[in-house]
Amino acid sequence: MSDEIKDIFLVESKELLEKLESDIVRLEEGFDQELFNNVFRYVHTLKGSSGVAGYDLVYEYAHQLENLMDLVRSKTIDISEDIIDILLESLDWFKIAIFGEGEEVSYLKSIMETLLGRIGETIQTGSVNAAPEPSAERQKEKAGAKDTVAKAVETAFKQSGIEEDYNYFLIKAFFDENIYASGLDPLMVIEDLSSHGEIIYRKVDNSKLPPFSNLDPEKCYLGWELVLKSLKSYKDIMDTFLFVQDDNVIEVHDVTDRFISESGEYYSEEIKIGEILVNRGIISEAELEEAIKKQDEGNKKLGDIVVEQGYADEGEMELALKEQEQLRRRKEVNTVRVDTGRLDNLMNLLGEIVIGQSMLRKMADELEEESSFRLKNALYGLDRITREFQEQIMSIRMIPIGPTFEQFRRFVRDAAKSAGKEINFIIEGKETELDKTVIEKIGDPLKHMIRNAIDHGVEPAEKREKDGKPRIGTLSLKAYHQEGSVYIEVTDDGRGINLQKIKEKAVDLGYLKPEEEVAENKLYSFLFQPGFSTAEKVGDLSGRGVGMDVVMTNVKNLRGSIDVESQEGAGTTVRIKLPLTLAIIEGMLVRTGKSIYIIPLLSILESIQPNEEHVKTVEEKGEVVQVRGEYISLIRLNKLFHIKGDFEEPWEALVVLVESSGEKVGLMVDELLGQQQIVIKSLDNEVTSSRAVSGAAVLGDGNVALILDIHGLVGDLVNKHLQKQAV
Amino acid sequence: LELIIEKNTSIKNVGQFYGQLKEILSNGHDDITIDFKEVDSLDLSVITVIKATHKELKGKGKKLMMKNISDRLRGQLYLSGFNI
Repeated sequence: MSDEIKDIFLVESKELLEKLESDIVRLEEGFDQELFNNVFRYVHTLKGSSGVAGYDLVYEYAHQLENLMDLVRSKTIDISEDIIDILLESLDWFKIAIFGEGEEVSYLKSIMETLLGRIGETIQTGSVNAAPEPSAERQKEKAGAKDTVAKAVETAFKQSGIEEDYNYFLIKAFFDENIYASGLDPLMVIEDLSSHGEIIYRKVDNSKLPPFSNLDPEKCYLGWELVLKSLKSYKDIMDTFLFVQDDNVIEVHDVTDRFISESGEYYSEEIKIGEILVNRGIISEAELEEAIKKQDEGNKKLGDIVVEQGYADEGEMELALKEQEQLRRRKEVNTVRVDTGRLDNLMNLLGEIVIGQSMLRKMADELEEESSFRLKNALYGLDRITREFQEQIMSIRMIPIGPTFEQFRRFVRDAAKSAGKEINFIIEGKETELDKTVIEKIGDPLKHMIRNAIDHGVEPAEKREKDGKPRIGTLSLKAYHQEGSVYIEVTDDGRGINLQKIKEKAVDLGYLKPEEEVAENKLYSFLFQPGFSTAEKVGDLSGRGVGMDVVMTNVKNLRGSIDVESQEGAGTTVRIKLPLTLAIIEGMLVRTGKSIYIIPLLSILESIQPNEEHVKTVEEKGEVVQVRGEYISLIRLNKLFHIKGDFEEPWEALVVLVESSGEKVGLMVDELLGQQQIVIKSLDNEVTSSRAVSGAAVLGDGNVALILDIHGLVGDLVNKHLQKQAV
Repeated sequence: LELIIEKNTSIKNVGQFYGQLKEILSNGHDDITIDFKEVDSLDLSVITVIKATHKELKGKGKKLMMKNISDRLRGQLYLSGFNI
């Protein structure tokens, strides 16, 4: 097996297992045939690719698991809690077998054998579906009604791709068999419809067409399921059916949103030859099922069986194979996996271009008038292209947060079970996109927040009932874009936060004086201090006071912020605000002596030149500047970085007021140079181990400026004060 | 065997067209070719008869072939489920 195949397998199976986990947990919330089919397909795909990649044990186990799933799929046994558990434990086993670090085969085998034993037992004892089976026809009708939209839209997308300006309509038209008698020709209606755009999916239902000898040529037997891509409105499309609406089954669904929101998922799936044959009307679904059954019995290809059985001739099969190949190629052309490292390199190179441009702009200022004008004009055009280029790279890095959210289904399920609570988990805004790096780093903070909500927020079912609340608690995870930022909210309908308790704890820990009056948001900010917990007992999940401080640190590292809203008895919302990207920030350039520093604009409140009498030294707080009655700690940048500034005293210089976690700090600088977009360059560990600096940027003149880490600076200051108080 | 579809074949005389084909099929002819040179378009009743013929022939391992198809008719046949 080549390393390349193994790498592809690892990447693909990671995605597959994530989807599998999410769908299994959703199955537990309520059985859904389509969902179960997904689970089956994921296991089947995993089996196939593991075989190719040389993961024989995974292949072997997936095959056995399929046996159990097949019985559920064929309704021979009912899905049960045991089966869900087996599926989840199998998933865990797959993870170890594929991603584990050098686990002994004997260890993997021993777990596998235990699981196989349980599978065998479940197959033996699994509850047989005793409910009377609906007639095959009724069953098919029911399944058809439910699946048609998804199937038609999915197939149409696979075949044609999407174009954003168009509307997509799923149309079902089944005509009364005596329609010709009224002088109407259904085909003319369908032709009229096709004139409104492009039919990108066509399924002609000829299941009612009798054998030739029994045909009544004056009766209509055909029906249609179509997907129309059109610039026309829903009303225009409905108008096409104006004269045939009565006595006929006509349905028009606008499925445009479906195309847009679910396109990624549809596109990732392989288009099957059987599907193509059915869609082309070459074989019926019944014939396909028959052929698949025969395929399961032997080793033949589906295409060969279809031809052998006379369902299709060789010419038809060749056409279908050609179509499959074209679709496969289209898929290969349209989707390319790119190592994110390459995107980072691209972004860095772009950063260099931006720097080069700044240098040229500076040089343009030094040229004589005409040359300067011409160079500046050329640079203006280049600026526009660079900005567009930057936006394009950024958009490549943007991915939906859905898969990250979905991973929490299992976590919530297990955590709720372990805490003995009943929780309904709701996900909203799965399509919200943000930078891949941000998504990778937001998982841990979210996990902590969800864990807290389950352990401390949502009450046990009995308590909820007693309080007149629904027995089952609700926990929701929601993402959305607003004003150029991404917001992620974790909301529970639990007991809410007791502000009095926070205040008492804050006083105990020395953050507050007993008589001190503080605002609500300041009290909530204590929850994010290290070691701060109001929990009376430490649980398996949380309560040790470790967690929310890590959440805050991680979110701050992502240049985000957190705020809390809570109502006692009604619930809590913890809201994270994140930038769309980590690669660029809006920064304020400030100068101290000969050095230039960058302060992230998001952290800046205002800048002032204090009066001499407003600068004081206060016990436990050190040097402060008094602003509108509030004492704000002062940091002299020249002293922090051991450099010589232009001014010695704050009242001669300027003070930039910044805020982090509700804590304000004043930074003494010599001069404000102006704000600009900064392409961040990371620094090696030696430099970044300083909590005062988060990165660097190269300026237009080629000099390097350090980016101040406001969260780190404030954190250091608060710790210093606490130590002083402790002494 | 080759069958030319007459001009103006439609729901009004589809019974006649069906009868023609029924006779051809009952005589056990092999592959059948339908020539559309006289028609530019057809209605669904006629196309349905052609579909049923195709199904019948296919079941017997024989073929239905078509020729002289106008652009409009090609579109109609496609919309009716033929892959041509």
